[in-house]
Amino acid sequence: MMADDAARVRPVHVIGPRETLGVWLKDLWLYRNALLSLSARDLRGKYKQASLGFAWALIQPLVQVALFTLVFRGVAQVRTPVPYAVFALAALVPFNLFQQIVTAGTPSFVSAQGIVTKVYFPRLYTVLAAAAAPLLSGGITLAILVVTMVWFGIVPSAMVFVAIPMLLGTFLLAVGVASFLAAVNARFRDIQHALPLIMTVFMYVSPVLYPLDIMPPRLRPLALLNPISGLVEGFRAAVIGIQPYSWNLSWASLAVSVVIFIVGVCVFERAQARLVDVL
Amino acid sequence: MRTAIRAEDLSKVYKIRVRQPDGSTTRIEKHALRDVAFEVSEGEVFGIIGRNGAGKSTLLKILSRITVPTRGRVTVYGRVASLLEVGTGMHPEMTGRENIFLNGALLGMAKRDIARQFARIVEFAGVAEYIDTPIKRYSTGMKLRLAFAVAAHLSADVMIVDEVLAVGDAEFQAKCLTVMRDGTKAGRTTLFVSHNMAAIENLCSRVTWLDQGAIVRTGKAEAVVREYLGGAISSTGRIREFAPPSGDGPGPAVHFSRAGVTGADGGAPVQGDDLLIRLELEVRNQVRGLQIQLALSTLEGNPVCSICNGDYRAEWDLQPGHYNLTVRLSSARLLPRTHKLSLRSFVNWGAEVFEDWPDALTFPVMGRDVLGSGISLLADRGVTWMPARFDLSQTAGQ
Repeated sequence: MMADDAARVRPVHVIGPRETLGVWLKDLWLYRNALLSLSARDLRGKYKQASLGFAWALIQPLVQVALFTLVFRGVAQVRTPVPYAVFALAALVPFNLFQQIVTAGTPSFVSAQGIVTKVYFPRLYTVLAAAAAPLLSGGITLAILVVTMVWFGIVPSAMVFVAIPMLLGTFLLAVGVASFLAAVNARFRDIQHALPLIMTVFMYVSPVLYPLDIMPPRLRPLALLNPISGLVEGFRAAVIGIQPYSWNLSWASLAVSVVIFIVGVCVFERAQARLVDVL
Repeated sequence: MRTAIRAEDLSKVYKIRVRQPDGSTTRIEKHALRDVAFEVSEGEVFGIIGRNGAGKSTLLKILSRITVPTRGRVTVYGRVASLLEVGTGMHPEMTGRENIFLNGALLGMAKRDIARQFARIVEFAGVAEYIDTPIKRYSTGMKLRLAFAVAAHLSADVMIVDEVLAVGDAEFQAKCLTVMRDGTKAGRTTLFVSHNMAAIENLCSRVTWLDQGAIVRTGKAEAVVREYLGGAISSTGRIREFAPPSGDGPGPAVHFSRAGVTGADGGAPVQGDDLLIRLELEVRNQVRGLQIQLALSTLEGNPVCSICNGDYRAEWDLQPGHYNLTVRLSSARLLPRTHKLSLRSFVNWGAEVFEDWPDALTFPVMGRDVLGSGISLLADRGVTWMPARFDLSQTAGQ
């Protein structure tokens, strides 16, 4: 095991009070295996002791959609351009992804204190590893959406490819928010307690379970304040082909998401070096 | 010789909030490291010693990039593998196999490197039959061996080892030493932190001694260790002053006023070296046939031995006054642990007792490579150790 060590070129690393962007990016690549393993660990830990295992990732969105269809279509009689189940599912794909990544990512840095105070790897990977289970469950929800659309015979719009940047934007937004909150949560654990509540509020003030146009015009700016609205609407419009759809809101949300991602990650990176000392 | 690690003006300041008696909080700065500078050459085994809180852990944490320095910098040439705490991130629900990959990944190994080393890791850990069992079913020893095996097979140029050798049985210790030595032969640089002076002297070529965050001395292992052990006495309080007897009445005829335990050179007691017990006696009334008994026990109270001048038919007849008594135990075969010393003064085998001080003081004995084999005799061996000779001869016949 030693022979090949000697032949290798030695990388030079300078440890100082500040780390450069180049080193940061290089480490993200060098430690990619750590991210994969942490994600696998997270997934295994989550489902291993449940006898239904990964089936829970299927059950959860199915129950959600059944419940929402019952309440919003059956009771509240919300009118939607496509069958309500498709309408809700198309929004739950991005929204659940956002909600689950933020919920799992926020406490991740604190929960990983046993690891981050013992070994080095890019700390952002604690947050990113927490996104593995949401991504898996998002994939399953997407599959349910496709099956449901085929069942109802709904043809996606010509703009269906736009769903990809919308999902990507959702992912970036979620990671940005989760990183920011993970840093704050290390100091103030209140965040992780308040989060489920905030997420519920978010879901009801965003056009997830109802179309944006049934919202009273006075309240609409409220819904538009959070960038997830534009992404959810955009994804839904792209997938189920609601015409006409004004894309401006969605593109703006996408841009805001990228900004929030960068800001969130920067805040996290600035905070983490000091936080390791106080964990 | 190429440089492997160069630390320059390395300082680490922790800001700590302290609550004042009036309820307000102030921030104080604690210097965990102060302008630490040293250089380690490639292939060298470099030791770091010092008392608890001297800054050793902080230094290792900076070197393994867990925390960042406040000032200064370290340049590391080559890939670093850190064994600060083996088994980091191991998941009890996952099997030995899965944990090898997980742990290896967290230590910065690529998947194919782990796969390439897999068979050797399993063999080294000696867990082959349980490799597909969740590690929650493993014994503590098995988990530790598995964890160390992964770390030992990292392909790194610089290895940081902290106290790993303090745990595990003799066979495992020997394996670990072999791995470290093999690494050194292959040009791997090792940074080794331990409280076990035997292991330090045995493995390290050079040592740096940290105290209160600053380097006291860096140099040849034997010299620095010796000086460290000599200096350790004053700070650990192996001297006890006894209050003069109070209350009414004449008090005891013989009073212990001071007791101290040191090694032969006045430093810390060292395994296998002479042990000096110094007592100061105050004799108030003339006494005939004074016997002093010293009893050593482990911290848990298991008796180790008992010494009395009466055993040597060497009782003392003393006039009132102050006396110094030095008791030398030749090549004291103690094990590295904290011992308790009890003192008793009496005449006629305890017919009349003057003073009785159970657990008069406690003192640690530093470990050493007493057998010269690199295997440390630790406190799990019993209360004492015996040097042995082995004569093996083949008998006639089949």
